[in-house]
Amino acid sequence: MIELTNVSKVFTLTKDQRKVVGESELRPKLFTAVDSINFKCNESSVFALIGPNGSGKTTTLRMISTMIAPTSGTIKIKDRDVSDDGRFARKSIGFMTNQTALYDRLSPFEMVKYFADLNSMDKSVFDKRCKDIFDRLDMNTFANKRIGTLSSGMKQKTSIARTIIHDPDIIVFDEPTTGLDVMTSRSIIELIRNSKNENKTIIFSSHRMEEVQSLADDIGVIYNGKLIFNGTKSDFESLSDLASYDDTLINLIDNS
Amino acid sequence: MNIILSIFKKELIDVLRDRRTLMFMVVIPILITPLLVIGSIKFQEYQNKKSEEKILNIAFINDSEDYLIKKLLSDQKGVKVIEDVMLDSLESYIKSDSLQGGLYIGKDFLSNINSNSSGSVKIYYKSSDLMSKSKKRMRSALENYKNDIVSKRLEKLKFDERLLEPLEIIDVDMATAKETLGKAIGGFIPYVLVMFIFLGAMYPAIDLGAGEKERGSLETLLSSPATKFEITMGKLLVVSLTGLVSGLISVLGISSSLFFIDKIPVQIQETILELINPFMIGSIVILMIPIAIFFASMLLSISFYSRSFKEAQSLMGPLNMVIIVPLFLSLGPGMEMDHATALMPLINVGLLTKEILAGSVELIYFIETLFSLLFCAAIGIWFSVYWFKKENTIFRV
Repeated sequence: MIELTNVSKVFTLTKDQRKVVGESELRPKLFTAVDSINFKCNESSVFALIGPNGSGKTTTLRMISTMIAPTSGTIKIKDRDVSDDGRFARKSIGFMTNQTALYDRLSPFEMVKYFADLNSMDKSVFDKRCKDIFDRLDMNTFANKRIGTLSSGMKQKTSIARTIIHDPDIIVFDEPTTGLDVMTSRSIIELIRNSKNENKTIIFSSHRMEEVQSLADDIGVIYNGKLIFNGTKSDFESLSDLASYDDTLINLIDNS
Repeated sequence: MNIILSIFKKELIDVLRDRRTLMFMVVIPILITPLLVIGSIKFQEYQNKKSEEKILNIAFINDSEDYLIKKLLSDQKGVKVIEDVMLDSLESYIKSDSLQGGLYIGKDFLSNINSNSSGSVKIYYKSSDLMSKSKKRMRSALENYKNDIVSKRLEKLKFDERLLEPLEIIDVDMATAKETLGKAIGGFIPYVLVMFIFLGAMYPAIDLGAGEKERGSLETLLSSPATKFEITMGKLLVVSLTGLVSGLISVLGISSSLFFIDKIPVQIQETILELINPFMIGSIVILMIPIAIFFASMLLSISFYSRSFKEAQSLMGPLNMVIIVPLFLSLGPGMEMDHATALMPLINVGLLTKEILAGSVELIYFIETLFSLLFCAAIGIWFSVYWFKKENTIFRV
């Protein structure tokens, strides 16, 4: 379970960043990316974090994964504050983005073994789980080839295996299907479904409303760093009479 | 510790499979360095031979009645005496390189010589023409002439020639061949050593920092249980190791190349073999370790800061100068190993390497140098860990 309470993230803008956002150099150099947000992701459920680009989705997911620290507020994973025990939080999490983020000069087996080692997995446990995942994802034929020589589908499978090798209770997906083809996107969607069936906590950010509609149990809408909606899928659907999720989201943002 | 080892193992496999790293770590030091050494020595020999054999056209303008100088000049090897050149046009001929020099003897020259006075001779040449030996050859002819005149004058006065040589100076060089050679090549070795540690560490550092950012794999690595300290240390160890190996291979490359130069006498070859002993190798390796760690930490910090491979490369370029300048200073006149220079990073490496190779190193300077380098390495490690922990560095946009 993940619980965020009054979580904020304030960045100090560099000179270049101030120019990009059109800030005067005389104005404060601080930028609030996430502003006092509160939400919970429950076990065996899928939480979709949606919102336009630059609204604070990635920052939120990075804070949950302890890559960056919140400026204020608390993030709890399985009731433990991540700022007290970052390693515990990261051991509980599998993190995946739309980028395969693999090492071309390693083989899929070496890649997965590396992440198992980082998670301090026992050899016997790793052997069993690795065999299980490689069989399930049909990866045995290319397990020992260099990743750089693999097709994008094979790379995506390797990325999935890397994410779930340590059997994390929580999986964080940051725009997992953005820019991917239909087949590759489908493998990610399958992973999210299977993970939910395995009683895992899942949080994902996305721009694809059809994915949100098909996968999410709970939805959070973030805009300009503020959580402007937090509720179940049916709560979201009841927000307006509009048929599409896209329109509901735009309506929410317009009225915020 | 296990996590640091896991990162170290993975990164080592990764960099050893990278052609660019292997090129800079192994191929260039082992092949290119000896080729450069042998090539530059051969080229130097060829240029010297060419300039020795070159026939120089020297104008001889004589307003006096003396003909001995012309004869002595003609006797010089590689000199062709050109007469009938007007003094007014001499400058333009030399500038256009039609003539490589000119010698002018004034009207009163012979009468001055005969009256036991000084005869004035002007020699014309271009000092910018480094290959030309015209000045040397003209002076040699005049020197012979001068000696002849002095002899005749002393004979006339019935004086012994030793009157002008009250001192008989005999050089007795107490330095062993090892010391002489050690000091001579000791200035060159640190350059190569330090440059190859830097070059060998550079590509792995870029790949393990900016390269990871570009591939997007750094984000995944940060989401693993490894702490930022463990990630930095694992990467730092690999980058230091590649730098160290590259430095060692370059020294071996240079040492082996010396045996392929046929003009090195057997005695010097034996001295080189004497220089390459376990103490020398051990001392240099001990010095190289903190240098490699320091460079690795600096390069890795720049790499973490860079958004891309390209940016990292362009930021690392100027560092070359920062490294070369202290080493260059260590070769300067009057630069000696003392308690102050032993604490100056890189300058101390230059000075101490010379002492190690000459076999005259003092333990206290070795300890001080090592302390100074270890201090730099510790600062480097602290800085790279601190830098990697900064969110603005890792997620710099």
